Amino acid sequence: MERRILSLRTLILGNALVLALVYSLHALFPTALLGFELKILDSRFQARQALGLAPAFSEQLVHINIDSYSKDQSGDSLWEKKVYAKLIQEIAKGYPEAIACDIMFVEWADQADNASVVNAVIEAGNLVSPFLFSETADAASQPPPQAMGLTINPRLAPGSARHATGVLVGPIEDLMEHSAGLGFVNLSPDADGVIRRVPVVVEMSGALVPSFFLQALAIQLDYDLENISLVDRSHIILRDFPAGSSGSPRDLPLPLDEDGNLIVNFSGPLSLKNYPHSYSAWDLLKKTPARPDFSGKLVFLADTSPQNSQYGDISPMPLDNAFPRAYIWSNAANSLLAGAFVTPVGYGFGVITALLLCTLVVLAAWRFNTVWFGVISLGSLVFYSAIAFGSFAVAGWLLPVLSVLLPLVGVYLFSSIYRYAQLEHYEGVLEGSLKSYLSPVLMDRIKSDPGLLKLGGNRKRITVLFSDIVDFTSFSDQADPQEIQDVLETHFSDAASIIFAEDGIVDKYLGDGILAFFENDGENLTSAVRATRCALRMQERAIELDRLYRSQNRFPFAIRIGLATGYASVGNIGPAEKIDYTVIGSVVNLASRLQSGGEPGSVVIEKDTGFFIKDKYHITSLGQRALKGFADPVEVYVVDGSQA
Amino acid sequence: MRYGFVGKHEDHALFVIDEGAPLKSGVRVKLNFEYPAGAWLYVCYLSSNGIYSLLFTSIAYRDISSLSLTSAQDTDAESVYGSLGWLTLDQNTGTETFFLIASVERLQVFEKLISNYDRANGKSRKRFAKRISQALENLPSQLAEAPNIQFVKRLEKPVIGGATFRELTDDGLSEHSLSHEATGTHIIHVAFTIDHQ
Repeated sequence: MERRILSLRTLILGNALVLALVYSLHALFPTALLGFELKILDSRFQARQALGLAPAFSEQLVHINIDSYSKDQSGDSLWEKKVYAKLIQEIAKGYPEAIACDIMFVEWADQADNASVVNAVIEAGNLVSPFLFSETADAASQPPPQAMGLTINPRLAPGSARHATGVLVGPIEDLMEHSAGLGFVNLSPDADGVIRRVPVVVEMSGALVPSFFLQALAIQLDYDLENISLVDRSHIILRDFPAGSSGSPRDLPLPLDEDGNLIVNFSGPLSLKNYPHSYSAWDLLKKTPARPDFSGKLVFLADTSPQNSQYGDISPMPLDNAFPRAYIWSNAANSLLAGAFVTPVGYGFGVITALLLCTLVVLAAWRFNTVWFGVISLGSLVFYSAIAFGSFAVAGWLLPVLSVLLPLVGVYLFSSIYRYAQLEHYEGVLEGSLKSYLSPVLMDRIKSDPGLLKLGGNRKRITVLFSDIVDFTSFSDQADPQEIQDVLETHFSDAASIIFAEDGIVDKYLGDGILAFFENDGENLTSAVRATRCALRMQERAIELDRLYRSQNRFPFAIRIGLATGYASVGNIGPAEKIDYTVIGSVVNLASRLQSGGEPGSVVIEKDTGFFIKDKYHITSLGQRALKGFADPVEVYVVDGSQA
Repeated sequence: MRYGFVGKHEDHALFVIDEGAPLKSGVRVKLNFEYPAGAWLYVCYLSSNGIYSLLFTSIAYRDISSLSLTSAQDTDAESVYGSLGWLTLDQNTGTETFFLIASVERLQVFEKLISNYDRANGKSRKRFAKRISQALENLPSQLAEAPNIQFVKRLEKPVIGGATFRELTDDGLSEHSLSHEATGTHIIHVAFTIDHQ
């Protein structure tokens, strides 16, 4: 039924406008809901963590942390360079494949003991040093120092990677020279200050420069940066990269975002459970316990103490509000080693999915009832949300959420409003139509208590009104059918109005006759009075019609009315396919017999009706009469009119 | 600049080694060179297993006298003759490459790279090796003034460099023979390879 009252065309056009509006707003204000989108992303990380589905941290990755414990034990929050040199030497004695030293030894800070650090780096022979570059041309226009050795890096086509200019902060030149590799440590947090992604490569002076973690991995795995293919800014393939558990070379496409960043697939917040190969620098220096074997591993050396946060080595990440940046790098490296990535799924997928789900919602709005429409709409929202969370937890797919759910909610809202408006309109039309058949009283009762529509009747005391047009049979034999219809329509319309005005219910039209009844409002027994008043007004109207018809030389019009009061079964009676709100009982027959025995223009009643109206109306007894279908004679009265 | 690689068989017979010549392990080879006086000469060697070494640099000659350089006996000479001692090819087969560089300017960047390479260990050393290779490919870019195109040709007949004429064979070949000539301005650099089999 609802499908017929809803226009599919309007639904489609309206929702198309809604979608256009949603996507236009999203395009105009892309950051308006960015914070919310990021929170949803974080919640996926958290849900995955709670389910224990986060990727395991590779055993090939080791952290040596200059943590609070180390600083407390040493009694010094700022260590001298010779201590760092000693630390590097101790790490090197464990024979790691590479040391990713996330500590910037800058000349301007302190030149003392530079030589000791440089010598330690030379002896280690596999240390990767960090540096910071600028992305703005005017911030640092000086060319990178020759010591960076950019000439040995792969040449890059302009525009294939993010552009960077001179070095803002680099290590001591001797360190640059003797580092096995250099990687930049620029990290840009998202709009909410949380770090979720790391850049992979930049183009500097026409050469590819790897980020810190990639350079460290390349050194560890003896991976040649020449094998990196930059398809475009957001597509990088590491050709013949020895990733995965087997370590056999294979092409590894990196799933990057539109800015060329890798979304870090975090193994969890900082804890020994998540990062079991983490050691305190102080323990290593003091050899308590014995130095671990680092052979074949990549060791990250960093200051992880919270005291250092002012220098930017601690940052919030989705699972931890204070997370050492060195671990962000190692998590990124872990993604490459395991080949387990957070894969951002393109905006196009979101748009297509949104369109499909919106189509489903539109069809549901058009085709199904309100309950199913709600179930399908809500189901679509829940289904997609579950898919978004589930695919992230299981496969690391980062499906767009808001770009799907917002259009879906918009379409649902529009469809709901349209449905409501149309149903309300239809209800009005239906009500207007039903008013032609049902009394306003009954309409109001059904609206306030739809239970009335249930099959079954109640025994009630009512007053039944039965009216009939005098000599209608002979009139219908002679008159034109159209004139008969006009007369009946006028009479029925007038009668119905009068009956409805007295809160009566028109049960049915029987040829030229009308069967109506009047119920009592609780204990207030007014049905007889209202029925009598109604009958007298119908007679007054009949006299007016008679005058009119006589003036038009038409049919002399008169009606007879019988009223009977008594108990009857009132309610929805009949088979399920065709039920009537009607009355059943002998009181109906009695009213009919009283009417048929009355004079034209009269209102004939029986004893019970007379009992209820005698204080208001003059009634005159016509004596007892034998009525067909009644065993005993019935005392019959005629209503003369109102009492003076 | 003139140079020549001379080989010696087990019977001590001398022969001229041409570019890319196949040689067996155990063969003895000797490099002779003659470069303009006042120029900076570098002889760099890349072994078949990828290890660089600086076999000769005129820095040493400029700082201390070297008996192997004939010009040391004649300060008015227009060219300087030099020679490396006899080298025996070891068991590591592959391509052996000799880089001869004569430059009007001192190649300080190259020298520093070589120096750091010698100090470096492990994977850092590989990085320096890459940088040295890169530097050798781009030597002219290290000069203040761009050089002209250079030419390398094989001499029709080996000539004798230096002052000694002992051990001269019938075909005029000596331990001091120079068989190739390279010409150019500002910088001359040639790579001479031996196919060590």
